[in-house]
Amino acid sequence: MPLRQGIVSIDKLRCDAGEVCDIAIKIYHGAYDEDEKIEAYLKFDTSYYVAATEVKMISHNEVLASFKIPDYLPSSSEAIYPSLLVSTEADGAIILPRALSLAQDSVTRADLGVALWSIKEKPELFAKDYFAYPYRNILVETLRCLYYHVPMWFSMMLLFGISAWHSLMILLRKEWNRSDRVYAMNAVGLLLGILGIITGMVWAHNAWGKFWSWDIKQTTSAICLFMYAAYFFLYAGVRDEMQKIRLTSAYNLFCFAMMIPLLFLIPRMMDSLHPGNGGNPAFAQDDLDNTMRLVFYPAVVGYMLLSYWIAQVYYRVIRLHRATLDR
Amino acid sequence: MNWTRQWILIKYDFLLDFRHRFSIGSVVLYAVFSVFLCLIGYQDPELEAWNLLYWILLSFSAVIWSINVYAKETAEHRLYYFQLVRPQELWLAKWISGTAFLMIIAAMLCLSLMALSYDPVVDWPRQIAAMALSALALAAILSFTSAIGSLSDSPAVVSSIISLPLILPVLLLGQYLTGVAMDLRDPSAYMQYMMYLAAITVISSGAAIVLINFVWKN
Repeated sequence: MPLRQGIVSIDKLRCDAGEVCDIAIKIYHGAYDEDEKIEAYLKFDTSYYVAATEVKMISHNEVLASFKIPDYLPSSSEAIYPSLLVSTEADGAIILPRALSLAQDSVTRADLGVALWSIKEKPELFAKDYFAYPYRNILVETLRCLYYHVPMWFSMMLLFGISAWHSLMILLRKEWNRSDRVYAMNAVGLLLGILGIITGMVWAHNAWGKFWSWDIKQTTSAICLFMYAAYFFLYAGVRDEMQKIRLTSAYNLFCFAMMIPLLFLIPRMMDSLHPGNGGNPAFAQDDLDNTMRLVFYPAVVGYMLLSYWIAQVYYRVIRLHRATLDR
Repeated sequence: MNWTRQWILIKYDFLLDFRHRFSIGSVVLYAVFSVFLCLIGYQDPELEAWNLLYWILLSFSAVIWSINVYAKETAEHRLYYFQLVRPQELWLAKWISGTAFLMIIAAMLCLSLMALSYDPVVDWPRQIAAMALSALALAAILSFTSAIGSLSDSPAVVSSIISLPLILPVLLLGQYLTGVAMDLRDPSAYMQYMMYLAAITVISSGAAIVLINFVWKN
């Protein structure tokens, strides 16, 4: 499944009002013909546009757009950050949000700026209707890792949540026979967590350049896995059965209580490269379109059910083992 | 919660620690000796390395302290306490005395690192606040994990294994906070990180207060 077209990068970071701004634009999966009519716009807010005076094709995936920036900007701020749009009849429009900064010396003539940026006919922009994955900056082709990495973490959370519930029932209602379920859920949950971290590392290597960047989400996820790995050492370190069940259940609940702020609260409030944390938008809201959602949502449900089934089978193995030993 | 009983327990805990001051002092000696050992080979550490050394040595000293917290108590002791006081009151007393002791360890580590290398701290109020809050957080977590570990077959090993991952978030935040005091990190996020550390302390102590009941009933 190919990715849609997208704007990879531009060579300008800043232009000034009243000047001519030549921007070289690199396009992902660009396939422009020499005689194709390419249009480019700078768009600010929802209704202010500046059309490019000239768009020249440098290569099949690079164009040079020339903009005459009006003398005033449609805002009383010293700088605005318009989006860049490139549009063709064949492939539709592609956008780079907050592409560059436009600065102005005078901030008192926003009214003139509004008049200069309002064009008589809004450009007819459309997204080409075909089956392709969305283009996302930085991620690009690695977007496909989403199908593996995220469902594994969802499944891990489900299994750890179920095991915390069983631990609670053990402690509150003294239902001691639930301890084997806790063990099985934690074992399969830990396996899924390790696989989730490995797939995340592969994704990070391709998207961020390094397997491990000490990103806060990576770090806190590893800490959570260490915590649950220590559960098995505690399990092995207590011989008395009732004592083992009580202590491991209490420790399991403590780990679950610590995992919630570690995985969900702290990464969201710190600087992070990870989507959904550190001020980055969460993935599924704006970064997916319905092409990926068609596979992603069933994948999440499928992994959750599969992992629960595996944990159930492992629980039955533990029970059989215990029954064999008791004979 | 009987506050009179709680206050008596806290005083009693401090008194017991003072009576066993040689075993408590061994942890202080371990901390100072570790500083000496590290600086033999790395006599003039860079600022980042100084910060890191401080936190590594503090975490290992804290884990060694936690192994000793319940080590002196036998099953008879526990039965005696169980008849007199509630498990939460016992844990709270350990938490408070643990905080005080970990502050002493942190101060000794800081002073010995400064004496044997140099003084990197620029903002002492921030450094002391970071040390105090991290001692509170470490004591909350370690007093609970050592309660669990002390009931296992090999308390030393189990206590250290289960406590090390749980104190990692405190180390993560603490090294940032002391980094600010040493002019290594951006100070604008200092209060935010202090609030995260306080949140971790509250969550771990809340979970410990609820769960210590189940751990202690033998």
